[in-house]
Amino acid sequence: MSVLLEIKNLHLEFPHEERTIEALRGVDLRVHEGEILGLVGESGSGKTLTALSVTKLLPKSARITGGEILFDGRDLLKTEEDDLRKIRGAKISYVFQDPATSLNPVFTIGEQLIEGIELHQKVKKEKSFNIAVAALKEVGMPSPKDIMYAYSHQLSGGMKQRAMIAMAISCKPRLLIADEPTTALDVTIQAQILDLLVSLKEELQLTIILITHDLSIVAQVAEKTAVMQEGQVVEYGDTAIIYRKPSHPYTQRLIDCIPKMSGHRI
Amino acid sequence: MKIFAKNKLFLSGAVIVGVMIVLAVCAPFIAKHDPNSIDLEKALIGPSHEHLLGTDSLGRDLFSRMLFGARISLSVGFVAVGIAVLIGVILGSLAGYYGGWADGVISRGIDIMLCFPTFFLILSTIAVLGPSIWNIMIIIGVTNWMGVARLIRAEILSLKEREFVEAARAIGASDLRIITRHLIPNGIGPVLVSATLGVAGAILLESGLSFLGLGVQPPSPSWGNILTEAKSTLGIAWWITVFPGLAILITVLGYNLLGEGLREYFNPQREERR
Repeated sequence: MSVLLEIKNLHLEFPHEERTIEALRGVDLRVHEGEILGLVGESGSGKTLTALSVTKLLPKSARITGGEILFDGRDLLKTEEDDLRKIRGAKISYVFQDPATSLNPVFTIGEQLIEGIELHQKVKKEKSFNIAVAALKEVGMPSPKDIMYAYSHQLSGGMKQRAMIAMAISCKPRLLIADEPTTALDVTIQAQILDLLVSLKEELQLTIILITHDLSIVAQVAEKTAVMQEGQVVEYGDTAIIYRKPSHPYTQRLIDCIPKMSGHRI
Repeated sequence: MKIFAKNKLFLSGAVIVGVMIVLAVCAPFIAKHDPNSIDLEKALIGPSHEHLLGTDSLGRDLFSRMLFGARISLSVGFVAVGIAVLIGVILGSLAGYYGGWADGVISRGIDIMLCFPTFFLILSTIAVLGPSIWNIMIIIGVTNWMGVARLIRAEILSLKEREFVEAARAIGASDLRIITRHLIPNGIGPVLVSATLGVAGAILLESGLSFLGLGVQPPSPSWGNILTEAKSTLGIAWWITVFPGLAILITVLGYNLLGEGLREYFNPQREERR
């Protein structure tokens, strides 16, 4: 499998007058075509910043001070904003944590889907409507045509997240970055969304970076796992191997956090 | 639409404003007399069947003059507020979205504009440029955008931190697209309310200017300059003062009700609004 995304020695900091906060301190990461990479770590370990750095969706105060992000052989850090905009949504798309706030409350789901399609594909209104319906069907949305005219408050949490995923895949991207896509959902819906991501990966040959703080999710779906701590990747490798024989003490502690069925009860 | 029908404030405001607009638009068909034809023999006749609201000191039909005056008063209100909203929304959203020095410059500009006593600024500008209906509309608009700018700036400051803005950037939307397609439609509610109330203010302002002789120039009728001419005959012909005054009062009231109704509609505590 060829490498789709390679992050080399990425440094990112938030400059302040008195002291500068180093958020990423040399992140190295490799994502192969067609795999799911689980990116785990505690809050503040730099998972989300790493993901946002890929297309420079960073907060204004952040500065990237070093490193390379190679996507398909092209250094995205050296790419102009105008060209990055053509990549966002078209080649690399995102799904965020809370689908309730990620959808614009004053537009219908259809309008938002079509907006994304029209930004990247030169197609007629009718065609883009059909592409949008197809994307909704792809994510297993019941009666996709009705959903096109629904507002976000009319959908349940799981359906909203499906709509977000539909938006993310509507332009057939190569890389999908899902930033805690199941954290805001309840457990049964979580499982459905994870199943959906796995089936999309297979059907659309999608590469997925799945960011989460829950190692058990990664163990279920990801082929490769990267563990982040304090702005660095401390462990990287096959999920099965990491899960069985963690080499870094931090990974061991994360694994210990997963509740077990056996052992004494509290 | 059902929600609007239930909202009594909005409904009564809409009816008043609607009737005023219909009267103004249909003025040539409703008026029985030419608003500017002078007939000195019929000067200062009280309300009668022939002259519904009486005649003025030159024998012109007051009802016809008020109908045509409504056109001027209402259009001044609309256009002036339209200009104010346009300037306010553009500057306010730039300040709110970009922050930093853009916000600094625009916010200080707003502060400076607010320091001027608006009415005197308008008076002196018109004294220099000359009184014409277009000048009045433009000047009222240019001196009243600050409130709108502050409102939309505050709305956008909070909206731009919401996740759907990040989601829009993540599908490749440009800054301009995010501002016009995602932020302004979400934040326009309070602006609509203030604009409706602003129309009332602009109508009052135009009446005041016309009353001082710096507004619409005679013989063209406007509610304000009918009042000016009425003051010399106030003792003997009450109707020339009372009816234009009532017209201003009712119209301003109508717009205020409309604004209050809209405010209720956009009130965040109402859950069923969207």
